[in-house]
Amino acid sequence: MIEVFILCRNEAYIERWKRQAEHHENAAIFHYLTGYDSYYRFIHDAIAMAKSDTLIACHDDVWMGKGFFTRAEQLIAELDETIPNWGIAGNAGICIHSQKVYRYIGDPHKNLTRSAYPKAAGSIDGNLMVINKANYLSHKVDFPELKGFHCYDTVLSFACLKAGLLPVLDHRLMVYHESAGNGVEYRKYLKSGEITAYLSSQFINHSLPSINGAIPLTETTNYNYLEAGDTRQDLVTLFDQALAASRAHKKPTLTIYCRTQFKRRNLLTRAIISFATTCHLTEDLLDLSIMIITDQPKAVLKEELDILSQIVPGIPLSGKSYTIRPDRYSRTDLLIHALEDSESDYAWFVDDDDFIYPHAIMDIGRYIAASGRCFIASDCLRQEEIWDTTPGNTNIVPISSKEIHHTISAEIFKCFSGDNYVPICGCIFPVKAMQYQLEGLKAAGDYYEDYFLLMLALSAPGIELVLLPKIIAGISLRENENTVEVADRSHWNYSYATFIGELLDSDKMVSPALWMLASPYYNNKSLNMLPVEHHPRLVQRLMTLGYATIALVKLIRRPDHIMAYVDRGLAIYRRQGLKALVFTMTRFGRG
Amino acid sequence: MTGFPIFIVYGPEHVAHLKTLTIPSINRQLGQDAIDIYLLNYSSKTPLFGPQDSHGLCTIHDLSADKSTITNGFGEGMNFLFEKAQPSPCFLMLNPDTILDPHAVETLLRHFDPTSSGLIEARQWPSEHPKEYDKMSGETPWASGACLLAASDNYAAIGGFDPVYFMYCEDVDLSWQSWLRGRSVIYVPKAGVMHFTGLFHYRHDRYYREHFYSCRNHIVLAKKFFGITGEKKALEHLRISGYPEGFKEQVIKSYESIAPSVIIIDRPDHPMVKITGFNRYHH
Repeated sequence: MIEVFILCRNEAYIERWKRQAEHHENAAIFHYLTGYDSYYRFIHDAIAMAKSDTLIACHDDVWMGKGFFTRAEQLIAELDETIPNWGIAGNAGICIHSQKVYRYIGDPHKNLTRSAYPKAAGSIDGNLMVINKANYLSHKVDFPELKGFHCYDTVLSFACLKAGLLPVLDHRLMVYHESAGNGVEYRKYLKSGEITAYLSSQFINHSLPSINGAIPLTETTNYNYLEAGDTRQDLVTLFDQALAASRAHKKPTLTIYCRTQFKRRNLLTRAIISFATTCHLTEDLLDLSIMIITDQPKAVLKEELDILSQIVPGIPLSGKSYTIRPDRYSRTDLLIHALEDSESDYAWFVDDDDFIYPHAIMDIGRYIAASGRCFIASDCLRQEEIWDTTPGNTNIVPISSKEIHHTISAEIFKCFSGDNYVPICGCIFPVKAMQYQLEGLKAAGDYYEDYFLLMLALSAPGIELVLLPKIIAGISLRENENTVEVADRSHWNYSYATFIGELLDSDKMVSPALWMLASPYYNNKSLNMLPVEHHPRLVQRLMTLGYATIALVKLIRRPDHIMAYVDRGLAIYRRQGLKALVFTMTRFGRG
Repeated sequence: MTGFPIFIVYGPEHVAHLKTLTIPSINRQLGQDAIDIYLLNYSSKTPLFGPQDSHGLCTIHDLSADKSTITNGFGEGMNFLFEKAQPSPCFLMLNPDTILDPHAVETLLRHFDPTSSGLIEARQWPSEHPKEYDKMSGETPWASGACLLAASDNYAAIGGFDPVYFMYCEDVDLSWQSWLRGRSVIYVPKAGVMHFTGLFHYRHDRYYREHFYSCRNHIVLAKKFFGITGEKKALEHLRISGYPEGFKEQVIKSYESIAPSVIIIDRPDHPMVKITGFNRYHH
């Protein structure tokens, strides 16, 4: 039976807790401790006193509902199996990589959240902590005995990470917490210097995550780690190592599917090389494979695979040739075939004229759920490319690639307004959930197939949307080659009506409330405060008003970004004249 | 020496990429009969490549066991390889995390003139350097060392890279010295090289060596080419840069430790030798 250690501020709170404990008779063993001047000391004592492998240390003002201990024991059993190196578990905290806060507590802050699976965290809140005593002892966690009643939870989380143990967040530890915390005392504690001195002696980071806000260490950090050897550690590296250890027995699997008809070999080769580069960076956090999907005959696929295997030897590259089903278009059916056949946990569709940024794989590895229960939406970068197509030239290469537009993952909520804001190469789909969602659907449209899949993923039951605000893929825009440039949109409009008509009529779009919730979000003015680079139409208008206007705007917005536009505009103007400049900006505005 | 010489300074973390991507991309170079790849492990005297890694066009020479120091910076490593290989009339310096376009070497060589060329730079993709360059002549104030063809006589006359930088900004120094010697520094957009840097994935809770050495070596460059006035301006750039005070102190401390090795160049004005901002050397 799990043991619960409650630090009570006085006898009255002990009596109050005893009344709560009556609701949990035979579910746990309760210990009431009092008279401490340090929560650090209390945790040390609780760990020493506990006879069980796991214990709970909590405040005297938390309320556990009926069924709490059943859920907690289920969670502990699940963690023992899926994250064997878990160190502590809590009901509120912050993820180290995303800085995203999860709160499975009712409290005066009123910021309750819900998620689909246990989250590996950077630090957890101390209102209630499940401590894995067995791991704590076997991994020799070095938890210091500092003074006071603040930051013990953050320090314990970091101490676990240093020892290779993961802090975890899960909704099954939900409680009602009466206190909102004492911000004044917390800030005073930070200023006292003991905690910042301790953290700066342990880590190289000049900012550390905590649910109460980042702990700033810019003025106490010693930066000699940049030049000389240093025994201090990088907290995120420690997190990566602990996460990798948790996945030692089973890593999530991700397949990059590259849709191609082998008509753009230069582009395809470039895409494949970007995938291959990624393969060297993925070993610890996920298993990556690459698959070409095509509607071309098997013999053509084999020939092309042989060529590519010579260019990028030794990578997990394979291919599948699909016969397109009646009443389906190729571009749609290839994606659906791939999802239906996939044995991976996740699918990432990157067409042959797109590419990926290999280092993104580290971020994807941190964000992706080992359980296969997340849908990742990320940022992408659109590049305007000029290829040397001089007649007779055999060296067809891009001679200019300018980054012109940065798509933002957070805009995915705007997709509920009826259009697509996240390119498909910025999405990583949960395979099993997509297989379920696609079952029985006709999917008879052609263009907007990416939007169709995206809306199915957003509506999939039990799937958590994860926003990864990093650039993971690039999109090549080449003069008039891209379909977005085609003036007659009738086939697009027909496709849109086909796809969305079927979606709105499907019970796979689980809840109309989702669409209602999205409305206030996409009307949110804060999205309109994004840097100028995300407002191509605004830039286009500014360009027509003259550079003085841009100069004015750049003073109040993001000068680095606006300057990229000015440079690009000037370059086009000098090279090709005003008409080309206006044409390019108009086209860009539409894209 | 029989083949076209390519120099690569690498670390253990680059071995897989080199074997499966960089070296095969060198092997696919068009217009070359043979290529000699000279390698140096910057982190130890242990060669991580051997003759067995030679195939196709490429012959591998890992000279790591021959160096006198255990670790070395980028510039020192290139200087060592240059001394050992004695290339003529030119050679290519290549980062270990790059992949060459099949036409890259022949395109760079097409622009090489033994009497006027100093440095010839390939175009990096996907993150093209923000470059100031003349669209007709390709002339540019400075060239990145990630994929750089160098004229051997010019490199020898300059004395190669100045080892004081350790890493970052040494390519700007080499470019400026080339211009001052009357040799051109050319950017060739048609010569492509893939270079996936981790720039977009730098985190905000820590700094990287690129931040540190770029800041420190900005002061080194400013002093070496613009004297005490340049040094003062560069220190002012650092002061208003927004980095934390502790970071700036570390940069200055490091700079002060190498300052005696920074020799001010007595030079005429040259339009290509310019500092236009903090760690910015072009318009």
